[in-house]
Amino acid sequence: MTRLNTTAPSRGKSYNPGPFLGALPLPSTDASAERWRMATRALVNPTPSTYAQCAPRPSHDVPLTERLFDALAAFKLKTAMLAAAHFNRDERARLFKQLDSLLDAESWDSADVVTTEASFTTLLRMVLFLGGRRPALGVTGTGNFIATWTEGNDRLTIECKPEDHVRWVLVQNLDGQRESAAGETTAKRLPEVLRPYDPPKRWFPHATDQAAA
Amino acid sequence: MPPTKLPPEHHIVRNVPWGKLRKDENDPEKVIGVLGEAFKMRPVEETLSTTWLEYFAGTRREQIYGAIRAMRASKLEIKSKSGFAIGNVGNITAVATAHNHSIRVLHEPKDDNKAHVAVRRWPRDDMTFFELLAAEAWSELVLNNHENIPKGAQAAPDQSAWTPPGAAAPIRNRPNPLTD
Repeated sequence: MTRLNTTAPSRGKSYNPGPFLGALPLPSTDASAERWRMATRALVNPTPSTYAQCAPRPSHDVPLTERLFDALAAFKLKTAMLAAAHFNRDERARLFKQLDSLLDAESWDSADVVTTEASFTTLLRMVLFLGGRRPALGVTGTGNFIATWTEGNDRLTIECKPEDHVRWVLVQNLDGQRESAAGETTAKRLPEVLRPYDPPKRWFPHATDQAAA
Repeated sequence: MPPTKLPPEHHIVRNVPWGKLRKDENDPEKVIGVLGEAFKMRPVEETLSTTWLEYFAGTRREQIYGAIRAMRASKLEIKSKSGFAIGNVGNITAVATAHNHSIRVLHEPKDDNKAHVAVRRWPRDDMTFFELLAAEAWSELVLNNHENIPKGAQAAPDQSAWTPPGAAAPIRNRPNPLTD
């Protein structure tokens, strides 16, 4: 069960995001700490009572609707814990709208494994690390999130696997010639791996610039 | 009788669940295409399951309606926000060959879908191949809830409207010498 960390963030030392997002994201100022607490409160009210109070049951005992609801709640809590200080209100609302749409029980394919928190964590960390344009979302049949960027015929698709592993495939058109590339790496290495290609430079220039430096 | 191999100019249709449709980055309800993931076989699939478009009689639009209604009438779980990706057999086979997959597109009717087509020798996992199909060869998309798609389900007829060149036309399509 995911527990909400309500401990006040330390303000004694300066905020150091560290080499990657493992250090994310304790707020560094009073204002951001308050914003973080407010976001957390808003996310957990109302909290699904069973989610907060009951021990997890084996997944085959739990109806799909309930599993989707629990997953959705877990993703929103995770966002509050990991990314509240890095997403403004609009971005958070946008992400939650995407999640609500994707995990809607009326549309969910019951043959698919419900997306996992481990994949969502990779997605969040990757999105925060890349910055720039936020992706559209999809799912695999095996419980992973898919992040997509599309511009005309150029498309980048990234499968977010647990523990920061990502599988990516890029299809782009250069002067009428189709070019494709694919690979598997970690979220941290992604900007460097994608640096030779054009669309990623347009979609998250800050990350690719950092990789170049 | 061996299964019929689909001609390269024909088309196959695959149901694509909501989560495997490509969305607009700014509007999660706006569908802009198909994800390569749509062409990954499910664990229960031994072959890639699709439906034969030219099995149905009529104009292309009527064939699309026929295929969709047949899939709705089958055991497939068709959700209202899902879509149907349509691909040309020859183009799909060409992309597969370029990726060293020697696929076979065969009419293998099932009890719940007489227009069922099994794509055999389909790879379990080849992300680039699937994504290239989604980008071009298998990118035509019809949404299940599109206002122009009639509601309802109807099982595919027992016999195909299409017959191989040189073969006798199916009985229901043959001209009646008494009336024609």
